[in-house]
Amino acid sequence: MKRVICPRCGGVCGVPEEARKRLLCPGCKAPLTENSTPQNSISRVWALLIAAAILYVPANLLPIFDMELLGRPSSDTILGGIADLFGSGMWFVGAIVFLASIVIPLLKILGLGFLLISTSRLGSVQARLASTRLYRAIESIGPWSMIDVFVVSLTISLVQFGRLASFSPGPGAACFAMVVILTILAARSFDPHTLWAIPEEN
Amino acid sequence: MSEPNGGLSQEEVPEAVVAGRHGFQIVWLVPIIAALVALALLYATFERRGKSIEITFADASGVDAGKTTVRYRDVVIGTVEEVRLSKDFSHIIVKAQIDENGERLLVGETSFWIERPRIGPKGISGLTTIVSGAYIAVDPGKLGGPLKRSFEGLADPPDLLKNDKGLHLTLTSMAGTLGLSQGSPVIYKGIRVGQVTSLKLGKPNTGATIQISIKPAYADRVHSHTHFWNSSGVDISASLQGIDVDIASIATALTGGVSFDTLGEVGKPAVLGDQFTLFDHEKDASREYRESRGLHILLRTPRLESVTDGDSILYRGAVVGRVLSHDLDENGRDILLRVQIDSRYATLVRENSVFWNASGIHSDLGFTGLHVQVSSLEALIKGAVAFATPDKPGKAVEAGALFDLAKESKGRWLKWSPLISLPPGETTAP
Repeated sequence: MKRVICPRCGGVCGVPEEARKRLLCPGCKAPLTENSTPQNSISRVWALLIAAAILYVPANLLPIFDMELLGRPSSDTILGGIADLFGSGMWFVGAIVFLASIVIPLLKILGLGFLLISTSRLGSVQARLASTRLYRAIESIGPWSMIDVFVVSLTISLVQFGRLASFSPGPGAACFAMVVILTILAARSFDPHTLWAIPEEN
Repeated sequence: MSEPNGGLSQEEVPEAVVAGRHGFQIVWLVPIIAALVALALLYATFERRGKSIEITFADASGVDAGKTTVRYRDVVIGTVEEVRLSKDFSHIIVKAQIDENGERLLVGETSFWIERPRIGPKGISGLTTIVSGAYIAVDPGKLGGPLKRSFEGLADPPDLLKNDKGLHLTLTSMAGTLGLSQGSPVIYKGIRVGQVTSLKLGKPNTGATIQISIKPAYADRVHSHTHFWNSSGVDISASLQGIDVDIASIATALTGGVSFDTLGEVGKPAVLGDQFTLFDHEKDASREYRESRGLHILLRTPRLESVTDGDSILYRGAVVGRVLSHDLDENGRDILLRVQIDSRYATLVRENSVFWNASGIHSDLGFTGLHVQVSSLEALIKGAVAFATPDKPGKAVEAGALFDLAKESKGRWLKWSPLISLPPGETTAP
């Protein structure tokens, strides 16, 4: 019988040795899985992360918006929009969009994947500390990727001039929003405790 | 961290509650759903992109990659993806994506052309094109044939849309096509019932050929005796009665137009491909009809003195007919005037009627003094022919009857006042 501290209420409870079941704190009914069975937490993160990685493909391949300006339809993917921004000399805005829409989601997905893979092989305190910093960075950076989604949704509500100009979200926007949400959820589901778990002897 | 170092003993620690069976975790549904959604979206997008086709044009002004659309009946069926020069720089190759609901239009005889903004006959419908720019229009051939991938674009819109159900007629005009252009309206009683589809020069000495298309709903208004005239522009004719300004409509004054009408006998209904003559003016167009009515007689005169074609025939000063034409008789000795008496007044002409030249001023200086005869101011300037019938009218005459034209009237002719009842009512020829 191991003993664990409930991450939510702080109460101590006993956990059976073969901890392969989903356990709840007897006091507040919070799941105890994070502490007691790191494997469970990690598989959830993997699931969310893989979903995010899958949706990252259509989010970049499909148009993020369909625009009709003076009867001429045009649609653009995220990368196309960034290229347009750079092309028209708006380097700063282009760089921000590129960071928020391409780099950050990709770094989050790769970073979380790295954490998940490396978590069982961590040895030194320095390595664990570095991983924990990486995790913090990933978690705090998460919502910033929503910039793109906000831009699209604001533009849609503002640019509606009937035949002159109209703007509607493309399938890429929905995929992109899902990528951002899934990576946030994955980062939240990742339990940093696993970075500090002492490998079980024998 | 699983080792407690507080003061709690084993017994006091409550045991964790088992929440459920260990097994498949619901969270793994998320990537599966994500994969399905991603695949469905990608499939839908790339499947709907449809076929890629290539159209060659001599010039492609106004065609932009990614912006110019391909439209059939003003519905977008595709988008231009790429505009590039051919290898030998002789033409331009436009690559377009046709989406799935337009794919079946891509058969062998399908033609493409660039619909540019055109100000003119098409009127307001062109307005969106002016703003939105050119687009590539499609006129599909017979559907169901084998599909094609590369096409030759037309330089101009085709004369006739292949599935235009209208009545197509050919008009020929020796005078030319002044004021007409492709798309000019065809007007029947002030209503636009069709349009000019093409203007061409025919063989040498045959003038111009004008193709028109009448909307199916109005096709039954055209008959073999229908006459067409060019109602373009403003027709100003000055005569002694005043100045006549004839504008069919502001629209046709600007864009040109063809009008038609059927007077009198209609004849057979017109069928596809019938040929008609395009007259310059409505007057020319209806002349044949007008001249075919009423009583036609001939007047013989040794000299054509101030009487010309179109001059009025006067009966007691009222216009009852006109001179249609004149010619030498077969011996070359006399002039024969062909005269039309309006049908209502035909009965005024009798076997013993007398005709005289009422043109100009006839002065007669005699013992009784100076007599000056002027029939009317118009007759003074234009010339006219007058006639009178004795108090005891003879038999009615038949068409083609021949009378002599006297140089001037005799006094007693003017005093004749026979009682001849006219048929009531019906208005005379215009």
